[in-house]
Parts: sequence; C-alpha cells; structure tokens
Amino acid sequence: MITIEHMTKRYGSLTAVDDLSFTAQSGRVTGFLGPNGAGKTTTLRMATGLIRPNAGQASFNGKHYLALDKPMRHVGLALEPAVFHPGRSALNHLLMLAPYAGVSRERCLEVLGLVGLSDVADKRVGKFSLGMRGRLNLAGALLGDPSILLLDEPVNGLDPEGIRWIRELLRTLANQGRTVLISSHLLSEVQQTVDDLVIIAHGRTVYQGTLEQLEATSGEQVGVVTSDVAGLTALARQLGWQIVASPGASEHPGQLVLAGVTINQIAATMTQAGIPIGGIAPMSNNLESIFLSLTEGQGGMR
Amino acid sequence: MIAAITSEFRKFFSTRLWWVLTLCMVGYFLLMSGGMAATVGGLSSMSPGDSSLEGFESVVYGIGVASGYVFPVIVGAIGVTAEYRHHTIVPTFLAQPRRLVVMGAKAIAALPMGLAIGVAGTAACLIGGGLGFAITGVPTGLDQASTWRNAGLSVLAFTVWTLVGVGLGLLIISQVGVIVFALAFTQLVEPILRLGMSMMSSPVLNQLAQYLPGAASDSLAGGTSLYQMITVSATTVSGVPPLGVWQGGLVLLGYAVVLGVIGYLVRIRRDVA
Ligand SMILES: Nc1ncnc2c1ncn2[C@@H]1O[C@H](COP(=O)(O)OP(=O)(O)O)[C@@H](O)[C@H]1O
Ligand SMILES: [Mg+2]
Repeated sequence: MITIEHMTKRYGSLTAVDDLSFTAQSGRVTGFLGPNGAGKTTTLRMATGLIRPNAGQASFNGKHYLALDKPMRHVGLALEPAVFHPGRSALNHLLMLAPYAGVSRERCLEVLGLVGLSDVADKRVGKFSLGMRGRLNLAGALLGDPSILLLDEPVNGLDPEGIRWIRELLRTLANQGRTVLISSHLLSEVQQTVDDLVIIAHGRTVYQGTLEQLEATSGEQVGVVTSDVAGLTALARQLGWQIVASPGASEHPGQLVLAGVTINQIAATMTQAGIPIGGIAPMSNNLESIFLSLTEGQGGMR
Repeated sequence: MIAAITSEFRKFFSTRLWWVLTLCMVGYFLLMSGGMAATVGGLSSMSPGDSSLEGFESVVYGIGVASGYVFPVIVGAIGVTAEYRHHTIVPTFLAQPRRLVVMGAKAIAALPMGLAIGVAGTAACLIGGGLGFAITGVPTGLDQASTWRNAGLSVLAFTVWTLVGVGLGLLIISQVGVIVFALAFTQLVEPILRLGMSMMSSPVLNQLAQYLPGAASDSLAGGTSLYQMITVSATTVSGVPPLGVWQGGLVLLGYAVVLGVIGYLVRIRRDVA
C-alpha cells in the first residue's frame, strides 16, 4: 500500500504539488492521472526522497522510503523520462543496480527476458528506441521483485502490441497482491488497465475512487450550440446546471456541454429566456471527456 | 556499503572511459619519459663527464606523477560527474537513499582505481625512461633502491590524487568543468603561484608555497619533480625546506578531505532530477 499525505512542492511561485493526499491499495492497479505538468512525476520523486517536499510525507506499507532496508526489494520506481548512461549496455545497467537489490546476474537476465530485451542485453543503451528504453526502465523497477511498483507513464513510446503486453503484465503483478501505481496524462491509455483512479490537476486531487464510480457519477450530458453563450452560461449558473466544457476549452466556439439537467428542460428554459438555440443534442458520455472536464475545469494546462 | 562499492566498480568498468583514459595516460607518459631520458642520454654521451646531467633518472621516472596528475583526478571525479551528467544518480539514489553511503562508496572505490592507474602510469614512466636511457647508453638507475622507493611513492601520490578528484567532482559536478579546472590549475595557476611564492622574500609565502597541492604531491612522490628542484634551489636561499614525504602526503590528503566535505555539503541535500 502507498500512502501520500499532504505533500506539497513549490518551485518559486509555482506550486507543482499542492497538499496532495491519496492512497493506492495492494492487489489493485491504481491510475495516477493528470494532464502534463499536473505534478505526477514531482509527487513520485518526493515520495522516494529524490526531491525534498515542502510539506507532507509518503509511506510504503507504512514505512518511509528512507526507512526501507534495500528499497529496491520493496519499491520499484520507473521514472519518466528514463535515465541511462548511453555507453552502458542494458545488462550492465541492471548489473550496476543488482548489488543494491541483492540479486544475481541470473536475475538481471531473467528480468531482461521478462521485458523482452534478451536479444539486446549487450547492446549499448544509446542505440535503444524510446520503447526499448521504457522496457529497460521497467526491468530496473522489477529487478528487486518489489511488492510496490510505481510506473511513471509506462505506456509512453510503446506500440499497440507493447501496450497490450504491459496491460497483461500489470494485471498479473496486481493479481500477485502487489500495489501497482501507473501514471498517465491520458485516461484512455490506462482505462482498460486500472481498477482505481487518482486524478490530479495543478497538483491537487480532483477525483479519487474506482473507475466504475467515475463512470456512474458522470450522468447525462447535453451539447448546446447557441449564439448567446454568455446568456446560457449565466442561466446555467443561476439554475445550478453543471457546465462540463466551456467554449474556450473546446474547439467549437459557441458550444456548451451541460450536465445535471435533461435535454427537454434546457430547451424549454432557453426558449422561455429568449436565448437562441442553434442546436441541441445528447452527448455520448465517454470517460475521456469526464477526465477533461475534471482537469480542464481547474483552468487547463499551465 | 559493500553493495554500494560493488556498484561503483561495475559502473566504472562498464563504459569505455576507463581504458581510453588509461591508454591515453600510458601513451603520454611513455613518450614524455622516453623522450626526456633519450635527450638527457644523448646530451651526456656528447659531453661525457658533465655532472649537470647526472641524477636525472629520478626526474624522468617521476615525470608522470609530477605533470600528469590530471589523469587520476579525472578517474576520481568521473564517478560523480558521469552520474550527474547522465542522471544515473537517480536510480543510484533510489537504490540507496542514504546519500552519504553512496558518496562514501565512491571515495572508497576510488582508492583501488587510483592504485591501479598509479601502477600503470608509474610503470609507463619506468619503461619509457628505462628504454630511453638504455638506448642512449646511460645507466638506467633501475638497479637502485631509491628508484623503486620513488616509484612506490608515485603510486601512492596517484591514489591520493584520485581522492582529490572525487572531492572536485562533488564540488564542480560538470565533467568538462573538472577537467578544465584541473588542467588550468595544475598546469598554469599552480606553477606560477608556486614559483612566485617561493622566490618572494617573504618567509611566510615561501613556507605556504610548499603547501600548494602540486608541491605537496611532489614531496609525497619523493621530491623528484623539476619544479621541486627549482624551488628547492630557490628556497634553500630563504632557508625553507620542502615538506617531507609524509607531510606532503597528509597535506594532499587534506585537500581531498576538505574538497570532499565541502562538495558533499554543497551537493547532498539538493533535489535530483
Ligand atoms: N525542477 C523544477 N523546477 C521548476 N519547475 C519544475 C521542476 N520540476 C517540475 N517543475 C514544474 O512542476 C510542474 C509539475 O511537473 P511534473 O511533476 O513533471 O508534471 P507531470 O509529471 O504531471 O507532467 C510543471 O509545471 C513543471 O514545469
Ligand atoms: Mg511526468
């Protein structure tokens, strides 16, 4: 289990992570989501002592990272971007970490096989593709057979086959009772992989719960096109309708997506108020748009 | 700690740098010592009995440690600078979050590396110089105990310089920065300072000149360098003797410790990314 409590990191005037708290349970895959710059990597760095938080703390099965004996045996972290010495071979990269994990050369070869890099074990990492670097990064995290895995954007650089492969791998690891946390800036990328979700924006939690709950709470959404967006916005605020996407955030100016209200109600109220209806239709309610509304509602990317 | 030291060795030997560096150093030392010995030998066979050309064996055999200590400095620094340059300090600190252990392991691992590069470098000078003397028909001095004592001290000096390199690496962190600083300081700044301070009529400065790192190194290496010869003749006038072997060794070690501690304190609490 991973517990993040009230973590805060400031860079000058920017608060990259802002009083962030969440937990990730063992035996489950938790998606740690947020747009680029939301503070995911910073949180993982703070949790493992690479950078110093301004406030807050993290624990792994109840222990601070510094208190772990041979941390690689408890926590495997694969950060994005992956870092390697370009002149070192894949096997030598793992061998350099092996003494810390207390594992043998055989184990290094074994994890290389597990991530599908056996054929290039002796090739220098400088010649690796993005996908191969991602796999080697994962191999480093798996080396000490840890019960907690933190994978930062593990899907980046993988081809569709690779994505399917990592999905199955993560599922297997979680089924073995491990705590698996994967970060991503796209919900659709991990939607089929995760059980639980932690969604952050601007370093703050905007959603924590299961994937099903998120799907269930989303409700019906209605797209409205009008020449009087300001009028409709004011009306929606007044009546407590939820504005899911505002014109500035969407590529269709003059369009609002509303929730918490039926299509008939909207049409009737707009007619009554004299706001022209250019078009009105129920929206297909996919998760990605919920994700966007959750994170963009916070003001979008910085 | 043993895990950390093992890891440092694996890091060092798993890239090409170590043998490129050793090869460069050995080649450079062979040329320098061989060329110098052949010149001395050539001159003395032209003017037999010229006593000013005697006693040059120790200078020739000590030319490596006297002018090439940038090599062990690089060997020591690289363990720190390469990790920060390629950001592999991230997996290292993840594997061992106690940063003192990591840096301590780098210093300890530097000792045998310094010893090895010291043996290679000193052997190159003995071989190059010995060949140079032998070809020109001058006694090589390889049968003298003092030659071998100085060779041993030269190896020791290389080892301590590797430690100085670890400290410099921590302080400067940039690989190129360390090399430029080490070259500029050892080849330019220090010789001028040393000569200048030795020649001044201030006894304090005369004394201080002996505590410069290169001077301390020369003393540790048995006082075989040309600088030492020049400054000794200059300082005998002012009556300040050079440091002894042990004093020189301790002073140089002092530099390593001071640089290392400052570097550690400057570096260690910083965020790594
Ligand atoms: N070392 C740093 N100095 C200044 N700003 C930083 C630093 N590291 C990250 N940031 C900023 O903090 C925010 C969060 O970054 P990051 O944690 O990398 O986001 P994510 O991983 O979610 O994309 C970004 O705005 C980023 O620019
Ligand atoms: Mg990131």
